[in-house]
Amino acid sequence: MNVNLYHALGFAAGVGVTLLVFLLIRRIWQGKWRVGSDYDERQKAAQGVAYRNAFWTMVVYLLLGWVLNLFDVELSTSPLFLFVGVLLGVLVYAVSCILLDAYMGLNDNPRRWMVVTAVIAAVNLVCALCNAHNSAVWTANLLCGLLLIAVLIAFGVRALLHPNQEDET
Amino acid sequence: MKNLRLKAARAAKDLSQQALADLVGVSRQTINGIEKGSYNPTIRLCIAICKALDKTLDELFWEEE
Repeated sequence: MNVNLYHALGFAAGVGVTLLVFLLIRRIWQGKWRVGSDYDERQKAAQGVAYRNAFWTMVVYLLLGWVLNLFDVELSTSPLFLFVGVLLGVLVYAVSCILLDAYMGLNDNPRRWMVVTAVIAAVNLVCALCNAHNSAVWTANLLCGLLLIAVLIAFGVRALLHPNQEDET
Repeated sequence: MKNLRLKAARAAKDLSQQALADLVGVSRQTINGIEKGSYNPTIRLCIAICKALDKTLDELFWEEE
């Protein structure tokens, strides 16, 4: 077998193990085999707005890359540029949802979610530090870690702007 | 436009926004949005709210000229 096949098998095994662990954690936390969040009608509509925001952000970002390409800027054709574009879209979607109270489903526990997100962000940043010699891995881990931290900051800003008081009307 | 009739009916039943939201299966922010007038609910949700508060659609959601 060649190296690529080993790599693919290793990747598939990693995804499989991660999925199993995720399902096991959900099983323990919720007492049932359930994946995904429930959203009400307002949240689904707000998520549509968030998708639109993310889509147009990516369009503008790629147009910017195209313009840069016209001026022979190498950055716009690099995989990193495209990766940052995807992360930017994800970030805009997440922040839009958070600001519109449509990120957390009805059955989600925000505190637990934030703890898990903070842990994943920390793991990404530690991995980035440990892989400083490998620029591709370092960049991917660093950007993912920063993305998650930005999402957590958005939650904090949302909480400060609109404290979860019982009756806001 | 604020829906003060919904807020009054909810208060008359001694329900918090969260309690009403749990009864009709939506988030508290959705009930808050309806009361503030920033969100227009579907007819399905209107009916669910009316049933939870023992009111008719006219009593809670009909806007007079």
